[in-house]
Amino acid sequence: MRIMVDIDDPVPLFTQLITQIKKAVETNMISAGDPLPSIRQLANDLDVNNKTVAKAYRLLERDGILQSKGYRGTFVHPDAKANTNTDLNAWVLEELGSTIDIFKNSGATDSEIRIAFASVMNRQKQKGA
Amino acid sequence: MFTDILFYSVFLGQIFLLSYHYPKKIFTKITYVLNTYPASKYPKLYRHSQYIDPENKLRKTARRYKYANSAIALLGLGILLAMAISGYAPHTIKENQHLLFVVFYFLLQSFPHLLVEVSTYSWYKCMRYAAKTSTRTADLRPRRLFDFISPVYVLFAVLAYIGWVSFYLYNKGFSAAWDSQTYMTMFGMAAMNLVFFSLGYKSFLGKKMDPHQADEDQHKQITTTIRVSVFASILMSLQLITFNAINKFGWDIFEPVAISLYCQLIIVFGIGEMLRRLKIEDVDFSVYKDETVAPV
Repeated sequence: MRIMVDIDDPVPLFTQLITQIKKAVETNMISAGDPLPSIRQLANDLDVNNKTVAKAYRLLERDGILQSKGYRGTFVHPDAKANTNTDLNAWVLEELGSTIDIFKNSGATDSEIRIAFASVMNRQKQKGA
Repeated sequence: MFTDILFYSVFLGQIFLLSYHYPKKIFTKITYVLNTYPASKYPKLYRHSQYIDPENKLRKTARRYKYANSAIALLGLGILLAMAISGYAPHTIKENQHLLFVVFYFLLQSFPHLLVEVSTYSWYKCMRYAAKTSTRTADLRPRRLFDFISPVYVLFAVLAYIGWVSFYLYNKGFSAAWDSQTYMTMFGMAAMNLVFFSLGYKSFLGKKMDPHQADEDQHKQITTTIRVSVFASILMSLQLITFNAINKFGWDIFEPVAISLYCQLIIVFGIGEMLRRLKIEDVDFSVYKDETVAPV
C-alpha cells in the first residue's frame, strides 16, 4: 500500500498523511493489527521532517486509528475502521459553533466571546501545567 | 619454496580479481546501461544538474576506470615479474617486506573502485536534486532488518566479534590485558563495526539514493548493502583472529598470504556480492523514462 503527499498542496502535510492513512483503513488496504512503518522510515521515504510524521501519528493515535506499542512500533488500532468515521476536528467545530450561537443569542459581542475564549484556554493551560 | 609459490600465486590472484575480473564486469555493466538505455529514451537516468552531456561524461569516466585498472594490473604483473627475475624468495626475507607490497598494492587497486563509489554517490545526489517533484510516495509497510538478511548471519557477526575479543584478550593474558594498545585496538574495532552498522542503517532507514528507483530494486539494494556490511564485519573479526593466531604461533611467513587473501575476500564479498545480487538485466529501467514525452 503506497501513500502520496504533495508538498505544494495548501493542505498541511500532516493532514494529507492523516487523510491517506484513514483512507487506507477505510478501503481495507491496511487492517486492524497491521504494523506501520516507523516515523523515521516514513519521514525519510517521503523526504519530510520527522516531526510532521510524528504529529500525524499522534493525532491518529488520539483518534483511535493507530496505537503505539512502545519499542515494538505503531500498529493499526483494533477499532480503527469504526473510528475513521469519527472526525474529531469536525465535531469540535460543530460544538464550538453551536456554543457561540448560544452566546450571540444571549447578546454577547464577538470581542467578549474572543476574550472569554482566550481566557478559558489560558486557564486550562495553567491547570495543565 | 612452498611459501614462495603460495605467495606468488595468491598475489597473482589479487591482481586478477581486483584489477581485471571485477573491473571488467563493472565496465561491461556500465557499457551495457549506456548502450541499452540511452539518454534519448531514458532521460531521468541522465538528468543531471552538473554536466551538459552527462551520458558522454559517464562514457569517459568508464573508460578512465578501465585504463586505470589495466595500468594497475600491469604494474602488479611488473612487480611480480621483477620479483621472480631477481630471485626474490619471500620465505628468506625476515622483515616481511612483501607484506608492504601486498598492502600498498591493495590500496592502489582500491583507488579506482573508491572513485567509482564516490562518483556514484555524487551522481545520485545530483539526480535527486534534478528530480525535485512536488509529489512524494512511500510504502505503508514497515521494513524489518530480518526481511533483508538471515538472523544467522547477524548472529555469526556478533559471535565472530565476541570470538575475536576473547581470543585477543586471551593472547594478552586477561589480568594484564588493559593497556593503551588494548584500548586502541578495541576502540578501532568498535569504530569499524559502527561504520558497518551505519552503512546498513542508512540504507535500511535512510533516504532513497536514487529518487526514481523501483520498490523491488530498492529492496534488492538494501538487502545487498546490509549483507555486505554484515559480511565485512564477520571478515574483519575473522581476519584479526587469523593475525592474532599467526603472531601467537609464529607463522609470520604466512602473513602476506593471509593479508592478500583477506583483501580478495573483501572484494569477493563486497563488489562481488553487489554484482551477483544487483543484476543489471533485472533492474527496472522503465522508471527512468520521461512520461511527459509522448511516444512516437
